Amino acid sequence: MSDSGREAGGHGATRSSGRQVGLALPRKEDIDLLTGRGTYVGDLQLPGMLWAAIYRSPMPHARLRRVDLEKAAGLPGVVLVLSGRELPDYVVPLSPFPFQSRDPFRAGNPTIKFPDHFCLARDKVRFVGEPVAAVVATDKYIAEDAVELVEADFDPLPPVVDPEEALKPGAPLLYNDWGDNLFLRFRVGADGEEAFRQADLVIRERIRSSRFTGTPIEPRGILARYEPTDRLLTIWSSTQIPHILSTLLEDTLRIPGLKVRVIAPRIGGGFGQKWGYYPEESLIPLLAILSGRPVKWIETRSEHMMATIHARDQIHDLEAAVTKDGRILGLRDRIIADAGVAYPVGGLASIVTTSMFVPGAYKIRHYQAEVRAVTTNKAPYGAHRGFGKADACFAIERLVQRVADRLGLDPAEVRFRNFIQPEDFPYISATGSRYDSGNYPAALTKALELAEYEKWRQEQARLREQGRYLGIGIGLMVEPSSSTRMGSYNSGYYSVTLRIDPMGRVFVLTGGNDEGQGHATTISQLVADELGVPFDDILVIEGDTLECPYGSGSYASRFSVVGASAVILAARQMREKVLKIAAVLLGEPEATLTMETSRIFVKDRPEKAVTLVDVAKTAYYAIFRLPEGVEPELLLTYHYRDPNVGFQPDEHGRVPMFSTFPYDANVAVVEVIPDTGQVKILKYVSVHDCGNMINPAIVQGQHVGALVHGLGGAMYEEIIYDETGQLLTGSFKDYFVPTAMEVPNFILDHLVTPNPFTPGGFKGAGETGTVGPPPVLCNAVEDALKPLGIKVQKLPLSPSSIRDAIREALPRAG
Amino acid sequence: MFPARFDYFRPQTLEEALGLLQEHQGEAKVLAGGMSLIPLMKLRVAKPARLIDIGRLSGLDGIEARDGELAIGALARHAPLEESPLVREAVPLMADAAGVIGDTQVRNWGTIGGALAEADPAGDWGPVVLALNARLRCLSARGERFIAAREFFRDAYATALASDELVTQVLVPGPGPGATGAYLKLERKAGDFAIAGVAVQLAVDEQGVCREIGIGLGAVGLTPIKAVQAEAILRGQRLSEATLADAAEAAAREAEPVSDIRGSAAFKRDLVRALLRRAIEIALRRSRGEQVEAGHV
Repeated sequence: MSDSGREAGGHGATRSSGRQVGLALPRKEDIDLLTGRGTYVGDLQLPGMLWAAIYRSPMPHARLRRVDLEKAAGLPGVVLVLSGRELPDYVVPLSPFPFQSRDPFRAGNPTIKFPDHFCLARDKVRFVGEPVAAVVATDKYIAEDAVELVEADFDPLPPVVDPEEALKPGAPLLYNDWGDNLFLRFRVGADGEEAFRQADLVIRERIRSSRFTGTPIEPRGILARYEPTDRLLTIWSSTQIPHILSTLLEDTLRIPGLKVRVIAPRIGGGFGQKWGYYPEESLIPLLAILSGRPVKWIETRSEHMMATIHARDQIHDLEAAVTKDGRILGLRDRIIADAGVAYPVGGLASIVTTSMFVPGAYKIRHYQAEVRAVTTNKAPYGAHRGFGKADACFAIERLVQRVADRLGLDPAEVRFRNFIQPEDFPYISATGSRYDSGNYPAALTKALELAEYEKWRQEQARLREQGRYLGIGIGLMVEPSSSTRMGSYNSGYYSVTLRIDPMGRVFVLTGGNDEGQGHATTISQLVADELGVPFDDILVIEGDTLECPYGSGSYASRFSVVGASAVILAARQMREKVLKIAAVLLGEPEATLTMETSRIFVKDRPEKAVTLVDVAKTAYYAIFRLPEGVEPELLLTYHYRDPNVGFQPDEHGRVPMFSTFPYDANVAVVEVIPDTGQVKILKYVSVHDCGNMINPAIVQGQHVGALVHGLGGAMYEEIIYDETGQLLTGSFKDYFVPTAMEVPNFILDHLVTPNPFTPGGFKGAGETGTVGPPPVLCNAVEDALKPLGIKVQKLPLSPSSIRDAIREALPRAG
Repeated sequence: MFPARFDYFRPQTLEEALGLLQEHQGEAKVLAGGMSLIPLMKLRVAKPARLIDIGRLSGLDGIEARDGELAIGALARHAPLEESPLVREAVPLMADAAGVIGDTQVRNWGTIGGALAEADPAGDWGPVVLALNARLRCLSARGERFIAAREFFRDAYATALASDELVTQVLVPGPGPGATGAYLKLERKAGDFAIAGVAVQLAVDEQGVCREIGIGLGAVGLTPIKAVQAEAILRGQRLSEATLADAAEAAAREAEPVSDIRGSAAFKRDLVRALLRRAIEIALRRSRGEQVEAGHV
């Protein structure tokens, strides 16, 4: 099920020798993707294939009285209908494990709840879009016609929409047996009484983010086929976690002897949203089992907006103990996250992550946070590029702005006074993480220079005289990468299988997954260097649970950290074996040999050589020539364990769960147009440090994409529910994803502080950019509107919200 | 994202189209560019039993000056209207509007007649035809009639067209001496519908007195609105700061916006004020022969 010609030639820019890592090579993937030859779930057809469509709850909160599928079943072409009460006995509720291990929450954590959600609602619906019934038909038109014939009766219940209201006694309950709407309460950090006693003043701020999410070009999609003789269920899914999905399915569909193979073909973007375990992922396979035919479902954009996870949407009540010169001695945060319906999609982990990283880039030794995740009648809260860390950065970078404003200090200066210093690394944070490396003062200095900070400050003063509103926003966002949750599926290792066939072709099979990151290219670069083989002789295979070693997939920007490390060390091990065999063939000591472009030779006598094919043929066909202790074949699997994470939280809930800390210094210059509320971005600088880069072109592509993603959250994108719990932003007509027209000309630069804990020195690179624009642009707008005394209270920075604030402020400002 | 079942007709002549419309009155929708109807059908918001596709009828997409009028065929697509030298010269606000409708695909496929007949409250052509005092030529098997733009828009997505009628032409009165205009809108992002849009057509004589004025407002009511009070304030007056401010206030009062995800009602009234001031300023500069961009704020 691979793409046609996935490894087709034509990569003229690759070098035949010399180091590949660090070069901006064109991506191996691009020829297929740019010529329409990439194979996505939507492209797949199987003989006898049927189409599923889903009837979803129109009600935010209601008892489900009756689902009548008779009319739908009677429509010619309909093969199967199914409601929640008709689920076979072997279907059990969607398992929260291993997404959410209970273990990490035990320390300092009195509350965590896991409800039983089935793949179709049975007694109650809890958000608009919850699957209620499914129909299967011979084509997709008939399937949608049949959905329109589903009749469901609901007894409406009062909706729970506002998370603060939801916490009040007497609020309506989503889960009656809980007794309240508190999904998770978690505390981290030790009391900082001392810091608050020493402080010159305590600054209290409420910082609120908005609900926004990822919008992959390809929504979710599943094709399922069941072969009863072998009890083999094969799923093609647009997922970030094929192996985990196979395990979860074997656990949810309890047919004795069921084996699940998951294949993730090309994925049109994940952004965390395909890191969940959704009802449809067991529902569609179940429909294939019940109908005895392959069944396909492709999510529509409207379904995506209502039923795929949402994120951000947190309220932070912060207290900072500060000195008059702007040093932050201590910090307390009380966080409320609007977690939506309590599905097992990983949202809780992101909320815990937020609480761990609010101190950000600053040397704040006294820090304590309490986070409460509140269940509401909204789509579930889950993973979204910047996973919880974006929320932490939003809180701290907005707070630092307010500290500077209150003290009348330059916001850049306040940051310099509080930064973790280069000599502090590796730095153990107040919540137990070990920050690997970095140079925050250098990054911000560079960003300020590129932005011409001093010049714009003067320009700001000049324009203020004319009644114009120019503002400068600053932020330095630390975005921890490569996470581990002890006891969960995300257990902190990465496996790579390396195979060289008798003709010397190299096959790399990983436990990871590619949603667009370019693994085929970067893995080829790594293997080409470490092994000494040509870039084009390497084929990378991912996303097939039958072929590849087990693994937890792609998330938390982990590939370049644990994935790349596993690839490097697997290749080194293979190289050792190849040289060992070559030593016998050449009659030379192993230590004198090296391999370049699949040729093994004596270092100081290059003419004395054998080829990789000679070695491979020996390993497969002439095994009598293999040295003592060397196994036949050129095949090995390497398991890399992350050395910079911890597994045991202390009594304050502190545990190192992220292993590397890329960061991004941003400076934005904006002008606010007072009568229309428009924000014009005049300049946006990003100085990014992700350690060494495998492929700078890929890093740049991901980083710019991430900045645009962040720009969306800052200025355009917001998921809005009305007070009755109805979704108002159900399509791209109302959910504003920025286009190329909205994107400023980013000024980019890099700083390189290598990660000392991995063999390649890489850090994560895919998410950092999403984090900066919301706080930095808010800071810029607030700075611009300082003469009016306006504090930006909400995202996104829409013309209406800005103009409304200006209209209110103008009479006050005279 | 798959439409409900429908019957599809593609008439070869205008007469055939009018015959089909008469035959299937009330059950048929007319498909021209399809830029709104097809998405609505895919979302099953619209489920017409019959579709009469007039998109390929010939002779309905002309743009020509005739008898003191600019006659624009209903099937003229937005992109050619943006690019037409005739339109740019005679009624630049039409080129402004055409250039900011939707995105490139929409401008290449969507038609002026289709957009007017759809009568989306946030459509761009509505305020323009109101500012220009245009007329719409409408045909049915029963005959021909002309509907003034002001009489055309009845409600959101509802017009004065009978169910067997087609808009076949937009007739714009030839601009008087020195008359010019501008269209401006603010949108949440490129390709989005207007949060508010303002169309202005004016002529100012050598003494600086406003001799002709037309103002249309978009996206601030159930229909596009002709700001007649603002027009009355400006007509025959010198365009002083005070007069302009009064007109902007009047237009903001004439607007009937509601709060929605694109902005609060108060914001939209503010936008009407701001856009009207700017559109008048651009029109005045154009009347002095300056090349000025408009369309987006």
